Amino acid sequence: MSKAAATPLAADAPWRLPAPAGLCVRRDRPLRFRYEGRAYSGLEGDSIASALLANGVWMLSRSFKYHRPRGPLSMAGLEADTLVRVNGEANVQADMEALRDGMEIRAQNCGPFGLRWDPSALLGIFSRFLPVGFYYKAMYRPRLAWQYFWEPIVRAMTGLGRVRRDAPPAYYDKMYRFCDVAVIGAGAAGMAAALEAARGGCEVLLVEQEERPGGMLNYARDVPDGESGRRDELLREVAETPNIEFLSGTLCNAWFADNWLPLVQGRRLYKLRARELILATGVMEQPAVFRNNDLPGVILGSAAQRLLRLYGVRPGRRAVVLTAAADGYEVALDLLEAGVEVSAVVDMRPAPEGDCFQEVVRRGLGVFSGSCVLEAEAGRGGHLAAVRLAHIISGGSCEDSKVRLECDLLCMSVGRMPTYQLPLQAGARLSHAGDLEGFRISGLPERVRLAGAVRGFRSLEEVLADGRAVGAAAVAALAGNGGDGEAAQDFPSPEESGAASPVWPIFQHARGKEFVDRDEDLQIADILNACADGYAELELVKRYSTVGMGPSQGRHSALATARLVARATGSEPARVGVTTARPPVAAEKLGVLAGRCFEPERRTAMHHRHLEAGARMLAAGLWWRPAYYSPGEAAREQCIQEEVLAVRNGVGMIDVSTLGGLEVRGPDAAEFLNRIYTFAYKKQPVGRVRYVLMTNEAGVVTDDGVACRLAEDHFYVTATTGGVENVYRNMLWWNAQWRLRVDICNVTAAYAGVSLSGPRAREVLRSVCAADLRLEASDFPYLGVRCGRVAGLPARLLRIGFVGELGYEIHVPSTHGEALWDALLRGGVEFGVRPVGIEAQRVLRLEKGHVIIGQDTDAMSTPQELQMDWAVAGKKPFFVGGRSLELRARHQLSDRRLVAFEAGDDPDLGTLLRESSLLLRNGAIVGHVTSVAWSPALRKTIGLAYAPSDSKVGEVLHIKGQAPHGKSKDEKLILQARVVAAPFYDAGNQRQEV
Amino acid sequence: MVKESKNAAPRATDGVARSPLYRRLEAAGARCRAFADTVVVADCGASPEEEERLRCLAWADFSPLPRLGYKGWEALSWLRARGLGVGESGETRCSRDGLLAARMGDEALLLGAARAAAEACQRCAADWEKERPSGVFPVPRQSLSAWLRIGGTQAPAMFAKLCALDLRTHRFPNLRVAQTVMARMNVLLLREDCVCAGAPALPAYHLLMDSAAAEYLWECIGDAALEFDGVPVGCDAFLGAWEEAPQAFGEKGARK
Repeated sequence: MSKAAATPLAADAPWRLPAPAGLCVRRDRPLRFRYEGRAYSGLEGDSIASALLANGVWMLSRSFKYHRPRGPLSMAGLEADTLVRVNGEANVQADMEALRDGMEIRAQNCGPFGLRWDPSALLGIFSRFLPVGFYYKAMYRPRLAWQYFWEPIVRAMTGLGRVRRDAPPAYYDKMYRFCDVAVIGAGAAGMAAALEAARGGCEVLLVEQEERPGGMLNYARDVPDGESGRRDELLREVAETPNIEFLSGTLCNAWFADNWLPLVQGRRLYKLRARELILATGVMEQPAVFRNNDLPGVILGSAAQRLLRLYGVRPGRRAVVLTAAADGYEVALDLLEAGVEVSAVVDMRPAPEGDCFQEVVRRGLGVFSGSCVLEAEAGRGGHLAAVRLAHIISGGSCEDSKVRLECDLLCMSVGRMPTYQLPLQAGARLSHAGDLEGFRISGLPERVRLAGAVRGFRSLEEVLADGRAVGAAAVAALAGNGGDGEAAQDFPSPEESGAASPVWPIFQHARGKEFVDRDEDLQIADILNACADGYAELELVKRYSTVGMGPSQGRHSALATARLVARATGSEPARVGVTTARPPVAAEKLGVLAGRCFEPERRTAMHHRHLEAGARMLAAGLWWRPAYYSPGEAAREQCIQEEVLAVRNGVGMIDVSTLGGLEVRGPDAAEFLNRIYTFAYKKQPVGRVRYVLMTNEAGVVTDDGVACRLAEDHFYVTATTGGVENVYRNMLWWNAQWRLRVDICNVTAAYAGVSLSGPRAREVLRSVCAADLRLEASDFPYLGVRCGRVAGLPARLLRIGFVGELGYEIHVPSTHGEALWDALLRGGVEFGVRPVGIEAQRVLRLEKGHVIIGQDTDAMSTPQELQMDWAVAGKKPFFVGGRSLELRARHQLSDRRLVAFEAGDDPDLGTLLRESSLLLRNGAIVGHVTSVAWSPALRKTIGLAYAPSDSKVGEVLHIKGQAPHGKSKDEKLILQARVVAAPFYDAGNQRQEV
Repeated sequence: MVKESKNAAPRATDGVARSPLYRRLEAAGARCRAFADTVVVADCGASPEEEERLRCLAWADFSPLPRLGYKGWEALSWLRARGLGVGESGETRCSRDGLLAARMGDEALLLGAARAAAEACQRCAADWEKERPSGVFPVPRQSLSAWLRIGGTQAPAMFAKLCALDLRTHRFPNLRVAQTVMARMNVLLLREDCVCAGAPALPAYHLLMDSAAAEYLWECIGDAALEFDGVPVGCDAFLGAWEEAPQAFGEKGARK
């Protein structure tokens, strides 16, 4: 027994090894925590799992389906068995989460009596009645059986923790990062690559998932010149190199195009853009598959080494090591030196060799060559108590067991698999040289390279040399000297690398329970039965059996599944491959994704005045607009009706700052508008306003507004609130082709606008205007535009009438918007002016029969369907969409029209008749309602609807009403409406032109 | 127009032109003063500590200060004919009176942060009104864009929480201009470091954004700056100690 083993163990953590074992832990800083209600102690630097194991507690959870006791397997966060609940937070990885003082830890997926005694574990007895896919065959009949019977049972028995609904909110953040070379994985290869790239003058970001850099250097046995000398030397070099930035505890969770990498560090998501990417992600040790291979106490060899070296925890009293390579002998020697009695090394190879093998033999340990572990036996508390060995006949088959070894620890070192998730997401593929060999990665895209063990190198010197070479290649690529990363990389042969074990580590047992996928409790028979059921492709096997769909995403099951499917279907593992690798690499918190998202919003210059006036705001695109004003908490409908009547009978002011504004300037401005809009503008006089209607190449209406000619070469054009960005983009795009002498500028935010409307609008405006601005109809007629001063502010005044009353739109620089609003309110006091929201504006325009683009139009609406042929100048040689409109008209391609309708004088109709209500004719759908409202001025319900093009004025429309609240949706409610001529209000337009 | 007065402290609402951020600044304890013919926030109640805060991270509302833009096929030659140095797209030139002329594509943006520069800006606007040159079209930047001045050693890190562009000092050099997206809104970002005699230059930026989104971006910046202890300050933190120091100019007009 070694000297270390002879030293007494700490009394309150009986499995803790004395110093110097335990690179991570601080023995002078004890921590207290509770697990399943019992108090324990650990050390700073422990993970939750290592602290529990130091106390002899192995059982961390119950399995998903059969509720079998489970403990850690990898100590590297690669399996679901270590998920626990910490201080109420579900699904915390016990083998990765650092222990903190006062932690309250609970196991997950266990029954009402706690972790130790779970009645659901009896399910394991009936596992033969729960074969793969049984739920597809058994739970779908009768019709509602799943919803009301099976699902509640299944949900109660399975799952991955429960969300804490009263969890306090936490701040999650996102940040961009940039570098020349990103190196993922700070093991030997990663650090060597980073140093080489940094020496080449690159900015390097070195990313490591674990808190401690070094990778296998931290725990593997074969480090020359002392256990930590090489690691410390590399770490010192990395720390002293100014152009290397090191991110520890950071998970690179995906690869996206152009080396866009999400890095998760605590509650922050870094969005990294790397010019060159080096993946030094190492390998994942793979478990063997045999009966009861999931018992607590059955762990990977690397897990045992992590426990010994990182945390100073002795993982067992008596161990058996199962191996198929030199790794297992190193584990055996490590255990031996830590005071663990090693009963035997079971080597699946018929003729073991190598220095470590010789050393093990020299120390007198028993070696069973050409043998396997056929079965593990559980003892008290479900922990491993013994293993049964058998001699291997050929791959996967063996003789009956003749040897039984008592042990409380089984370490498996039977093969490795490259950490393939990121390379495969980047577009690489896995290759598999033969039936018994492991996977290798090939086909990497440009700017992505592999380094070290992930590429198959095994010895430290090879790994370091490869890291340096790959780092230098990245530097060369950035300098423009070669960019074909993979071509320059030589892969070692499997024999050279030792990464794969030329054995078949899968042994079926007559009594089952050989787990291929521990997350989903899938056994060998489940995979074979899935193939037998006809699911011969791996992706189908995955969906049918759920293999690889658990939290560990196939890290420990992919290789075994590929081998089983290949053998069952007579294929090769290389052809079977692994299932598609998709982001994320590991589970990530929703908070990381949801944290610090941007939801842009825009406010007009009068925004705060609206709030002060009691406005109820609504979002219109990015803008906030006042829907209606309710200073005294009056009802919505009442407020809207009062605002409508204020405009009809007095004067109202509407904030129209959100309307798009575009300056079109230059000698070809009129020609440009002539081409881009449907109407004619070349002869539009200066000082006049003209309606604009935009169509796309298909003749579909996309926007509208007005064009104000301020000078021969200057138009001020308005567009809809939500459409201006598209209009601007369209204009730039078209003029890039036409090359007219015109400049287009989007000035939407530069102007605040107020629409002053109503019979008394002129009086209000006169009270705040300079005397030289003449407002009479003879001087400033309908559809006129003037520049002048309003309340001393430089303004553009447009005489237009969207709401059908005498109206002025006053546009001032947005910096002056609040002052304009204040001045109009002050000047309008004696005339009863009141602010009006957009809900009232919608009613007012409907009374005038004006359409709103986007509400009364859809992706097919043409000017003809909208009955707006008057806005199309047919004699123009060209405008965008003109040719399509000509063809549509010639071939009568449209069979619908937007018609106006009245639906009676019952105000309650508004609750039954809504926008999108369907028009029926002989039971068939022939159209739909686009706008409908109760008109306070007309005292009736009015609306617009798409109806068959043969609809005539006076015709009765049948509209399917919507059932009011509390009534069945199935109730048929057919309402009648009559087609009328638009506009509903002031057909002669006398009120707006006064 | 607001007249400078040594007696009564002016308010942000004294004139008819108001910054979209004046309410935010009032809430932060802003104290105003007259500057050129407008009112700026002198400090947010913590002068002279605000100059110290600027070393780490601080920002001020420059929206009331003069700025304008010119577009069109003759715009650059017209400006150059007036003695205004306008460089290549993405570059900024600084004239002796402190007027910054930034070029983005076919638009030249003039920023008048210093007193003499403000006057130069106004002269330029008056000249255009008088001449009305063809092919030169003014862009109403005064009302179109709100203007923030952001400075401090932590400013690039703060920007990394808002913007996908690499704005670290060695990647985005002094007097560089970028049209980019910040917190999903289009912005113009111009780097002009703060310099003062005897002290190293401090990274500082001019940020121009859609004036309707100014309050939104103000909130985003405030949130992003929390971890760096960033605070809003008055214009004096930038205009006072840093920019009114004696300065030297390089051959190309860039400040040393």
